[in-house]
Amino acid sequence: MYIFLIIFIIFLILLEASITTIPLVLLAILLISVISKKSWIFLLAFSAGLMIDLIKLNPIGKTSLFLTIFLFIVLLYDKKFEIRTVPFVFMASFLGSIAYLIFFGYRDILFQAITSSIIGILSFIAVKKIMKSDSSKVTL
Amino acid sequence: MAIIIPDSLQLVRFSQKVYNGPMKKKENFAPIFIFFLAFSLIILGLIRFNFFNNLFGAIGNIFSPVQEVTFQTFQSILNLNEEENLKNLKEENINLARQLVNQEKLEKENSALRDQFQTATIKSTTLIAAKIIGAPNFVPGVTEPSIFILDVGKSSGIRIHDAVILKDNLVGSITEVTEFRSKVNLITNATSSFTAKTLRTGAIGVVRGEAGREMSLQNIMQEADIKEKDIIVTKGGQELGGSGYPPDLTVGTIISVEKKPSALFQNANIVSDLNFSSLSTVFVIKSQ
Repeated sequence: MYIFLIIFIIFLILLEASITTIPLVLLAILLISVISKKSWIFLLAFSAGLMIDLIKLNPIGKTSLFLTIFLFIVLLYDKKFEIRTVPFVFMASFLGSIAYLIFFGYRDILFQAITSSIIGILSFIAVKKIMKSDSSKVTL
Repeated sequence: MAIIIPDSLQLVRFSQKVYNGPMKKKENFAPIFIFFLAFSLIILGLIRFNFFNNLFGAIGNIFSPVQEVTFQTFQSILNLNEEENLKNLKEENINLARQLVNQEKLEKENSALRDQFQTATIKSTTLIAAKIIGAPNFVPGVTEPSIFILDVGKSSGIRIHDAVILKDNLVGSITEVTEFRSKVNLITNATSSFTAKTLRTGAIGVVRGEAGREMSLQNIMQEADIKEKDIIVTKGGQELGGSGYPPDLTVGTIISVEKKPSALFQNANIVSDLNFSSLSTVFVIKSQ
């Protein structure tokens, strides 16, 4: 399961570095944190951020910094509210994408944020359905 | 009188909830967050002071072949629909524009040679071919990228501020370099800004990147003669050491002019002849 996750994250990093500016890795980290809520996600976010910076030739550590802070804010909300819901995933992916795109100086911020929140919601619903049908086996 | 109570109205015994134990305490993420936050800041600081640049550059280069394959696969899928005729027409247009610029240059050189008081210096430069291994943009194949990642770096003699071209059309300039890779800021990038002139009249302005393939030519004097379809070329702002844009590289063509009599300057919108999202190879000018 972990190996599959790592390969999937690497694939998303390659897509984000080569093809698209939509923050796919941010969405993946958000989904994993909403579903899993464990501390190892920080290591995943940090490593993914480093890899993105290495491949995209950004200042190394910049994406890691952003993802770490974003993840912490998401998990802070978990202390008070239920975050495993569609509205939360939508707001977190929308606002997180806007912040990410502004932080890295991209264009078409609003359209990209809306697109990424739609991708986030659809992925969340898909993962929830998969987990429901396989609920006895899934443990993260 | 007997009262019959239907089954549906009978009291149902509620099943007792079975607890597995006391409720799980939520993990405290603060220490691990602070650890990774500090680690990120330390790495950022080390990079600022150029520590471990070579190491990070070498690690990043490991993914270059995979990145290249990913980019080329998607690019070939997205460019399948571009008709052969349209492609040829675009090629021909770029070649014709280049011939026009070369002809103007030759005429100026001839007149400089004839006039013994004028001098024309031609710097000898080396072109380094570079493959594009990354060009992230919002909707691949639809929107235009604003940066390129190239598969050449310091080991090939690339330096920051080196100009990147394709058939004498300006593509952008190098902004980041590692040992084996480099990053190009395209001329359409919002942060791009350089001086340029019209080929026909020599009117000077400042080119700034905007959305897609368009740029704006600003701060052109009111009395300057510019019109639609004028070709824009670089003015040439080379610094010591040869970095910066050489003169007479094609930037694009004017598509519209904004001229208000009350304003101090006039502006124009330019579009590049290059389709940045379909490029796969470019050339870096390495000055000697």
